[in-house]
Amino acid sequence: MKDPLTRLTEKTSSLGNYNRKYLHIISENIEKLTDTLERYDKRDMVHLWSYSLEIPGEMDTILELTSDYQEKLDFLGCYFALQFLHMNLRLVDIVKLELATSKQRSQTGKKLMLESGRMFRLLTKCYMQRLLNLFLNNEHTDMEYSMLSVGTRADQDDIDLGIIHRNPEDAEVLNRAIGRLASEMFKKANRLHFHLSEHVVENSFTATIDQYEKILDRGQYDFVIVTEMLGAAVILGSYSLFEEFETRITNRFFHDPQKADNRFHEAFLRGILGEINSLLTSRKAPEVINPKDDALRPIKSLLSALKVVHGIHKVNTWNIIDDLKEKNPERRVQYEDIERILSFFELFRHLYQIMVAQDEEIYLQDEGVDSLVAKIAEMIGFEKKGVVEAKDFMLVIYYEFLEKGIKAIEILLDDIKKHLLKISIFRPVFSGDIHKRPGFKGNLAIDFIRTSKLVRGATYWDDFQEEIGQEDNRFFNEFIDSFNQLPDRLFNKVAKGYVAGAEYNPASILRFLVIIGKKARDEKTKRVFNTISSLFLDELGRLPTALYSLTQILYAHPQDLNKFLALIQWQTLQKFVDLVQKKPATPELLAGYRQLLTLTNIHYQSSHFFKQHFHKILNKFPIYIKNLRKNDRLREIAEGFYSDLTSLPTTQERLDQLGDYYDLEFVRVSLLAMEGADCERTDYEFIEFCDNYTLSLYEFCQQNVHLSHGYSMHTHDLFALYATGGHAREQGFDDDYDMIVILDSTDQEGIDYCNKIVGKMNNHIIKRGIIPHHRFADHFGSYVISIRQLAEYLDRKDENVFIDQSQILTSRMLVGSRKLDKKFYDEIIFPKVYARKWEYIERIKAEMSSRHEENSTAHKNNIKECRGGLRDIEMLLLMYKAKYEARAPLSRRFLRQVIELEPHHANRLVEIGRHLNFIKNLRDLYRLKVAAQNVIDVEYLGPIAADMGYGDDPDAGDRLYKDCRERSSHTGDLIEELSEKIKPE
Amino acid sequence: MSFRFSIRLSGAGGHGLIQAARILAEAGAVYDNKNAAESCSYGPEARGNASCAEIVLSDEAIDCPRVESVNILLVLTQEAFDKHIPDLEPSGMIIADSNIVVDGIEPGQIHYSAPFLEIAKSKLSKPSLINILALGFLAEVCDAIEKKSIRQAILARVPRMSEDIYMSAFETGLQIAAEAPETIGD
Repeated sequence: MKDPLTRLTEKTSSLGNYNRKYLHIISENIEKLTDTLERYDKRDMVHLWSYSLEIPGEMDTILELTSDYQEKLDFLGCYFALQFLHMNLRLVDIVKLELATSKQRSQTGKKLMLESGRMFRLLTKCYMQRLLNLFLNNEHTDMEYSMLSVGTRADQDDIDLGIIHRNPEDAEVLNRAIGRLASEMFKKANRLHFHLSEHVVENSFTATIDQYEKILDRGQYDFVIVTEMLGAAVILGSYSLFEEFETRITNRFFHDPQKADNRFHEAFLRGILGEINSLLTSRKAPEVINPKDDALRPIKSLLSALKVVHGIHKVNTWNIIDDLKEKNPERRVQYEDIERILSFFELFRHLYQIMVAQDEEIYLQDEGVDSLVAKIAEMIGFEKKGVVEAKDFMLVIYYEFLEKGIKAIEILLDDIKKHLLKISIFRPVFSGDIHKRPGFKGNLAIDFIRTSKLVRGATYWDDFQEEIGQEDNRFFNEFIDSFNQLPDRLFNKVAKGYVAGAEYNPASILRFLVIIGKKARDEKTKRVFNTISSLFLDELGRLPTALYSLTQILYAHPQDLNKFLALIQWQTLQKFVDLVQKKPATPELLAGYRQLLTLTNIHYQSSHFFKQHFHKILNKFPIYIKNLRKNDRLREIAEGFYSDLTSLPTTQERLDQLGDYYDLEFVRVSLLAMEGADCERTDYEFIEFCDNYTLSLYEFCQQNVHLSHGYSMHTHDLFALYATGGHAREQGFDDDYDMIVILDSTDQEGIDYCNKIVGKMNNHIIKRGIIPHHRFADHFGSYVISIRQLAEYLDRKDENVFIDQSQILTSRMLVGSRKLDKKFYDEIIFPKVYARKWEYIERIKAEMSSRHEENSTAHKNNIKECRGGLRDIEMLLLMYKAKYEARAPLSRRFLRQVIELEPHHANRLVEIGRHLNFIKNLRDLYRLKVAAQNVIDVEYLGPIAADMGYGDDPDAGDRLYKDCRERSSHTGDLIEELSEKIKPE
Repeated sequence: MSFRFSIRLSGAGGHGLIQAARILAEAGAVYDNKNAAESCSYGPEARGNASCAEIVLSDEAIDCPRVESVNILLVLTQEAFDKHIPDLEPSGMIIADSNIVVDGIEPGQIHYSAPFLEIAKSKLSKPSLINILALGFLAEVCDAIEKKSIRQAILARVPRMSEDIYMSAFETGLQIAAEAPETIGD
């Protein structure tokens, strides 16, 4: 038969590895303890191999076994370790039994957690009491102290304690004993934490009530220590001392309706509400679950806030919920939800800690963890159904409860916020009543800072922001005026006061700045905004947590961060860039860092041309910011928008959403280009969404005209819309849109109808920041022209007719029938261009050479018009198109066709194709990062040079420029050589 | 003669240095039969992304677990180095990630440098094991706690069935420490 230690070791192997520590302690001491017990015939008085219901008596029996101090500690530690393991094994058995037999599973977690807390508290209390007696040498019996539990009773990971003593002269003896207690407990039992006492007196485990009073009166407290004090319960020592502590210290934080000034209560609420907000909006890694941060901390923080609002002095979470149900019956549903959710999360976390590891973060994909979580799921009653595992069912419930919990928390938070508004010490400041006080000579900007010092550590300022943001601007104007009335030195000093909480609550300061920045139209508001923004970044720059805070803000409040970056001055943006570019130690561990970098770079290094779409989209769809680096996800979002268009009820809504689709896609393809995608891909994707946009725009504008004018006309396939220019050549990122609109009819009513449609299209296109061009509209006084009108126009004897011929030749049909397109070819393209193609080609050659001669220096930095630039390549392709009477659009595909048609010039043409991509890439990046113009300024080429692989040293821009000039010049030579050879055979 | 030895670990959130400190303290107290105390930052300041933990080892009872000056400082970020270097004992040891610019080493202070962050990313099965890697390094260059005890403490703190990957990270730490050059301030 196996010995008891082996049996216990085997049984314990089903628990987490941390239980090895207790087995180690047992194996070190059990022989000696058993021998000693047997020597004194007391073996049957102590439960060594089973759970004991007589722990205090058995501990005393063990202490009586020896007079040796170290032996006493070792025996007691060994007994504790044994009972600790029995307790956990017993708990696992109770869970299994309870869940197998219980009909009310939602109550099981609560019941088990209460039992677990009771067992653990009894065991640790008995152990601590006896250790403390030993360390105090059973002397100092008259010393009055209270050892308070300030954490969760069932938490085995560590025990949070607060200790108070009556007489200051006892501190030294007590500190020494508690130091030893902590050390012995760490070795053989559990870790002790003394955050509360250490906060009050540095390097001390204990403090007097006077010392507590002093730090409260100085405002040196925060919501963490207040939460601990509010949850305090006596473990050992004097109850009357604790009652005095409650009266003089803890009760300050409860709402007292009889008092006008509830500043301690308010300070705590402002701290805890900020904490809850931050917990609810914090980033959650998809592969990790964290029951404590996900659910338990926000719920317990909320309950702490509710207990001080409703005057509940109980400390056990379940009892607080019971009282809240009684005191606030209109929210009974939410309390019951919270109770169920708490029950599930507490039990799951507790079992994970006992059976797997004492970690809060659970990495579901980690080796082994998955199967252990599965085991817990089965233990707490989830079953495999079909192919769906018990663990997966449990995770579904995990997230469902989380969602439900957040809803309940939000409802209860709103109640607390309303309560706060009613009792706030800021009420006279917000309402302006402070001015009515006798002898008041105040200043609003100072009043706020002064009052906020009374609630130190507060992180909830939504009410202040709401006041500042009110549309009537009453409070806002006074606030700004009061700031500007301050002399310069005081102005800066007060401004610093507004960024003082940057360490704890940067999101709130940022939101406050955005509210001011959005209203900053006059110089005095701009002064306030610019000064505080700059100070805010200085303050952030000093904090080691700055990047972490910014990534959290990006996750929780993306639109605020984006807006802030759009509003700040260039110098302040430069500070922000410097801050973000301080690479974090482990960027992969700082989720969101790369998005932050991308967003910053967009603000710092992008053109107005790009930003006009970017801001429009980000203000409307903040989710876009979170996906800046996930182009596929952005594409899915945009495609969803496009597919959804026809399901919208009104034409206006469809047109609005179509505009959003364009902006979304513009931003997405631009990001793709800025990330380094080749221009062939970005051109393709750009033109794809542009064509989608134009087709739908035509359709919705037609519907709109039909609805607003009450008639619909059938155009009998006589209507066509052709893109010309860059769009027709399938070239992305143009800021104009050339179109030819044909109605092959002389019916004036039809022409008016189509003009109305095109007019509406123009209005919408302009909203996208693109200028629509209708080449023939000026001449004919109408957007819509007939084929006959166009034919007559092209017959004119004018040396510039080749420009119109080129437009026609470039055109690509977007809307219209094949029949009309054929007619367009038969009556326009063939007779007016191809039938006179050599004449047309000669005109183009002449234009090229005159442009090169006349403007050789003027155009040298113009990547479109320079020799070997985009225009020359387009001209060369037009000549080939005319020569071969081709109908394909003037794109890269056509260039490839030419290579096949002119195999003897293939090398030159391939080189030209390469240059086309080079110069197109440069043009796109310049448009997106610098400005939407064709003339490049070498001074701004640095970032583009880095993107194009020229390095990021100071000379990289120059190298790119030089290379561009050389390549263009060489391409110019090639084009000249080839064009000379385009002639009749 | 009694001894008191202090170690401070500091870096960023996600480095797992609080867990590392706890492992070291347990290794000393439970498996090495010394007295040990461990403390870490908590309160609102712990809500940020910086992390710092301290361990005190002694053969006598530890009355005060807080550390004024440290014998060994292990830092993984520049901010941590800049903040804590003034607290290093005149004959103390600094172990820093290679990315850190180590300025101001006093005469007699020992400096080790290793690419912890780089190795955690490239050689370990997951980057978050950087804490165990660092513990391995520390165990090799400092004899205040037995390596065997640290191994036992690691095994007692990690999730069941993931012991191998933790041990492998620890062994990697030992290995890189054995090859790392030691610099002494002059």
